[in-house]
Amino acid sequence: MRRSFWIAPVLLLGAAAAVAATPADTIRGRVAGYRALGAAFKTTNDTVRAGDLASPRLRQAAAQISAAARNQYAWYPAGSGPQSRQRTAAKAEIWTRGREFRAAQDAFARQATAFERIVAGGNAAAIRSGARQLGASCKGCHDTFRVSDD
Amino acid sequence: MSAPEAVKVWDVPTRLFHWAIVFFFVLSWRSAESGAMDWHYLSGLIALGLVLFRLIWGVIGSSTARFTHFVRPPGAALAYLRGPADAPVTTVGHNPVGGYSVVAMLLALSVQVGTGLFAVDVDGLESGPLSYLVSFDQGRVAAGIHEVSFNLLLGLIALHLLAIAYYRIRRSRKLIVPMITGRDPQVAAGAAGLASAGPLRFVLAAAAAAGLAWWASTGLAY
Repeated sequence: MRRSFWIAPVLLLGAAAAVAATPADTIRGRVAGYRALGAAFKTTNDTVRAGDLASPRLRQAAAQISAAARNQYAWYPAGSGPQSRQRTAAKAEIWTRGREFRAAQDAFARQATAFERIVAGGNAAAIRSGARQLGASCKGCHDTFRVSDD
Repeated sequence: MSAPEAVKVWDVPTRLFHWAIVFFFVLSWRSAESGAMDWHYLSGLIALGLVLFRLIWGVIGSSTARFTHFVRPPGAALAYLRGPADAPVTTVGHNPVGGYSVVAMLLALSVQVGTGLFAVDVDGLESGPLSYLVSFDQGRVAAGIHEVSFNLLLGLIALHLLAIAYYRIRRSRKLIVPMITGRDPQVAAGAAGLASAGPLRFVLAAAAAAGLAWWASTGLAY
């Protein structure tokens, strides 16, 4: 439980550093952010599949996802896309269709906050459907803004 | 049926396994490519059951399906390669080189279905039924191996098809028909045919394989 309290500030600090960093650093930080997010999603799915819905691990994962959803706004400074010539799965559309991307980020942040609340509520059916919806909001964005197959 | 006197070389379970794994390999491949992960899990679990069955059948199955029948010392494989291409076929089952191809294929298939159980996708959204036993990073390693062994399988399948074409063109051997009918009219009459393992062993092997695959799909629930 306690771990979730420092995750948000650490990610925030990382995001703040990313703004001032070189594209390579930014991309590294972004990848690390998404890896942590992927791990939190795995924990979510593991605990939901096991029916372990009161697990502190699930609450912690939901808090991590929701923190990442807030922090991701800072993960895409201009110049950190494919034109940086760094290896990145971020498509140029993130910046050329900025309004749409922002809407997708908002949708994810909304879902993540809602999911954290649902988990706290403890209703099994709501948690299951919430996890599915949250996953769908990720995929919706990836289909348009991420290079596939990586 | 057209040649009732032809020597029996492959039993029904071995042939069923062969064509079923072809079908589920293609289904697994296409479903993964198109992102139909529900189908991919189902297809992969059936493939797991099939591979488990074939491994069991390699120990208790009919003569030509057994590992002891076709896993020969490397020297035998070399001697076979050096031998005359037009030698009459007097024995049934895999030749000493083909035996190694079966071993390679089954190894690659085992790695393929085994890593699939633990694999996690890049988003942590899709994962195999045993992935809860490993960390996200370990699950990503499993997914990496899953991809490598898939490419290895594509290579082995290409080699398999090339070998069949080679036998057809250079040695006038028809290998596909016996894998469908179970009988090989090109084997010299009077050669000792397949020694069948019988239906009871088949039922036991199939039940054990299906049970294990189902158990894996539940995440080894007890």
